[in-house]
Amino acid sequence: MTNPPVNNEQPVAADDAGVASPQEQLVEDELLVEDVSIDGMCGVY
Amino acid sequence: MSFDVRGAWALDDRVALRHESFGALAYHFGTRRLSFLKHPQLVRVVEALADHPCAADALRAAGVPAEREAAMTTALGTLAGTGMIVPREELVA
Repeated sequence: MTNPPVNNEQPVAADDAGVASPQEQLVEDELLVEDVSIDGMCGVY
Repeated sequence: MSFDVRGAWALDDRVALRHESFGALAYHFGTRRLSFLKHPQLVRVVEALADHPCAADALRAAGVPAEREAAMTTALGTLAGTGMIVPREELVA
């Protein structure tokens, strides 16, 4: 039985903490409203 | 859905807002839809809609910076599309 390959990849250093890339900021901005489906949940009338 | 920021809007009478640390939960008793408003400033905008002649004024009153207006407008469009907010003339009995 062979051991699974070890992932030796170095973690990517994060950019300045707290600074989102423009694309990340755009994605974050698009999620200001999130609909949640509660159909089928017990106790919902 | 494009949102008319020049229109008069208000939270539907059948919607209850529950304030949370992240913003608020909005539940529509008519459609039984549940939405997360994921930014406290968006909640302030939604609550201010009924007090201003148009949504654009509500955005300004809530202190929404220009760079965030597009995201807020998109969010308001989503809320309008799900019936959470409605054109104010629809609320007149």
